[in-house]
Amino acid sequence: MKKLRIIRILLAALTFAASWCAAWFIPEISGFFTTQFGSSALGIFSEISLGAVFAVVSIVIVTLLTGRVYCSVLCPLGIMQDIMATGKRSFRFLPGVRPVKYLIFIAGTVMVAAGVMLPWTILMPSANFVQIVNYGFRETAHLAGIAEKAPNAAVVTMIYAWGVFVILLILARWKGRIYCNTLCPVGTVLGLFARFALYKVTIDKDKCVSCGACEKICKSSCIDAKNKLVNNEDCVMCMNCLSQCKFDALKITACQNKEPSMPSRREFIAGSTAVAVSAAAGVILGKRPVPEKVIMPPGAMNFDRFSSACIGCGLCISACSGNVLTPSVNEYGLRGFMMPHLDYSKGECRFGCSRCMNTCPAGALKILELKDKQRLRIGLARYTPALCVAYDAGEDCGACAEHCPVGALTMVPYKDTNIPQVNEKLCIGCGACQHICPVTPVKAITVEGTSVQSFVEKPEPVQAVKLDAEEDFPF
Amino acid sequence: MDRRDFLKKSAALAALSSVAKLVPSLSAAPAPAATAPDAPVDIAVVRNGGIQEMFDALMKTLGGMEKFVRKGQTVLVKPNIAWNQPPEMGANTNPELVAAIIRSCKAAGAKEVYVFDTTCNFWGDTYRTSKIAEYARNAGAVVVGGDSDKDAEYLAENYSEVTVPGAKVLKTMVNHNLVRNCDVFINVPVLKVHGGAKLTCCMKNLMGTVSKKYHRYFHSHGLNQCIAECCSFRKPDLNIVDAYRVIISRGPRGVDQSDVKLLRYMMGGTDMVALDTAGARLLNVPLRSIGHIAAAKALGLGTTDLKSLNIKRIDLKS
Repeated sequence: MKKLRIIRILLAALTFAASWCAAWFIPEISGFFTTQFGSSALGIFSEISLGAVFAVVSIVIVTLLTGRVYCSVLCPLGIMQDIMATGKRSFRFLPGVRPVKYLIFIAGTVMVAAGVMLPWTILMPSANFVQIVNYGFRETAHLAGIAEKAPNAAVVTMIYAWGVFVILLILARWKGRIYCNTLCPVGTVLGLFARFALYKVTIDKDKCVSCGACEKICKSSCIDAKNKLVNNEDCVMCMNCLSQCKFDALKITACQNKEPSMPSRREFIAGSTAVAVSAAAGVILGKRPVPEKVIMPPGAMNFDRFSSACIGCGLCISACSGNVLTPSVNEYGLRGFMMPHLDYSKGECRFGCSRCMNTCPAGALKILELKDKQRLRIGLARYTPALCVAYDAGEDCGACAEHCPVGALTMVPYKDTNIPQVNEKLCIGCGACQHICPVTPVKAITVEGTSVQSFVEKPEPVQAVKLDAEEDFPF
Repeated sequence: MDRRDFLKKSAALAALSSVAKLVPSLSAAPAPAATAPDAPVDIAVVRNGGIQEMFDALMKTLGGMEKFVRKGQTVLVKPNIAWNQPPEMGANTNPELVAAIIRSCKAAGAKEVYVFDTTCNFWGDTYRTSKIAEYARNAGAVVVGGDSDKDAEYLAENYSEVTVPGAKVLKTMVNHNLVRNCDVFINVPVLKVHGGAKLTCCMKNLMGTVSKKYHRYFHSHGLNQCIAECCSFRKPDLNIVDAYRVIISRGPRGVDQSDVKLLRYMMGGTDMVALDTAGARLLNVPLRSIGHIAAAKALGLGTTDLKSLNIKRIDLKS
């Protein structure tokens, strides 16, 4: 039994290292977050993929077999809390968490179903983990001069990430895995399955003397030593308790399921109220006007689809090779907190890159083939002649047309020089023109977002021209 | 020598000289200003061959790489690697040509050959997609990173601010240290039409020695004058113009294959202005529309009068 615990710790260490690197974006292991239950489960509703289905089904099967081992060996935020709570041995059984966590879960689910992802943006463990790594640790390390900058982290996101970290630290030192057993939607769902797990931690009532040694070390606060019971729904199978028992009363065994208890009348009323309130909140927040001018990442397709799938983890931001994806604070409104948008003052959406859509673990970005992504309009270039050096000062510039990858910008004669002209049928809004425009601080050509992403026309092939040089040397 | 011998030889010499007087008037008829047959070649232009074949013919005409690269010298080969486009789009210099030049420099005894460009798209992408990094490394060159937009550390280590003597607009610029530190500077542009500068050839290619932050300065302070002044900083010791695949519309990046023409030309020489003038002819771009050629001519960087030059034309087909 001791060996199992050591295996658990080794696996957790491995996961923690892998997830840290994946969050930091090392391309080779960027697929790690597909293993995350929450985002993959949500992904099934938005952009179903084989990887996500496989992850969800296998995690459910494992949970039905051996309880919430996922929470101990695959959830990076769970492992982070274990690290935070290291050494603490004064936990107490926590009765009555069940109604609290169900209420939170139901309220969150109803709001998410109404199209407002905010509750899960705030509570999803994988999202919190990536935010803490990038906006918290990485950005701070950058400020200290020992790491490269986190992609487009700002003061607000840094404060937010550290806030989440500190709250988790306080909660973990205070009551161990209380976040996992009250706030975390993944913990709640997996708890429901863990209730019916085949193998679980049980107390041999004949051997147990209710000494409480196991209860004190249980960071999940799920062992009731007095009544010799284990709340397997909250147990994360860390197996710390097994070696604590001097009487050999704790075991992992296959055992009969307990009768699931029905909610009391008070719980039922509270639950119904939560549903009603959160539905109202969801509807009110969801009714806010769709942001028109913000540029969504490629594959978002339309704002409703995007906002009802993105959990704001920021993996796409970490992956963005053009350094343009930026976490939103209020750009999309409150409901779009932490969701990514494109900021072309920092770069351009690279024509040959589709990392963001391939990295999204929640299916918020439709995965397109590169050639299709290259025809997807995410915005539209707008030309302001009054600011342009060609129009205004008569300079031969042409930088914007030079950089346009789709030929949507052409230089047309104007007075003694040429000025750019936007072909709206071809422009995909990649921002190459805006980024290269030499005019500062306000660019002469800027890209406006579009609330619905659509495919542009294929550029017309150019008429073949015969050159003199093809016949003979022209000089 | 007796008197009879003297008379015979005098007569022979007189006859010879009278024939010799006739010869130039006959041979020079198609190219009026041609200089003596063994005069140095100003521009060599080759067509209708494979890359290696044309390069060999070109270098032979120009006097061999040994004329430009001496044993133990360091060489900077500056191709165009600006765009994240594959070789068949003709947006970057042909990788085979870059490799051929490097091999030739090595054979001439070059100590080290460096390859770099300040790219428009991210250099990690352009170096790979253009296949130039791969070909250059295999040919034995040191491939130096080139993007200097975001990586402040790289910029600080490899680029420095220099003054451009005699410049009116581009008084100072930040360019790559290799431009100053190499013994031999070989410019290897690909010939293209260009939305802003109208033509990309030798001179426009040298904008790629300047840091990306300065590219914006070029564009907003008179692109053509800046290009010309930038070229006056260090004139390449040799220019080899890749006109194998040329972009004839929607340049300099190109959108699809309809922008590309398989022209199969290659030119070489030391006069950037003359080569750019010849390049404009190859692409049917009117000379008067290319501002930087006029600006460079005014700065005395070279001539646009191709008739005054000794041009060697080699058609490998015939």
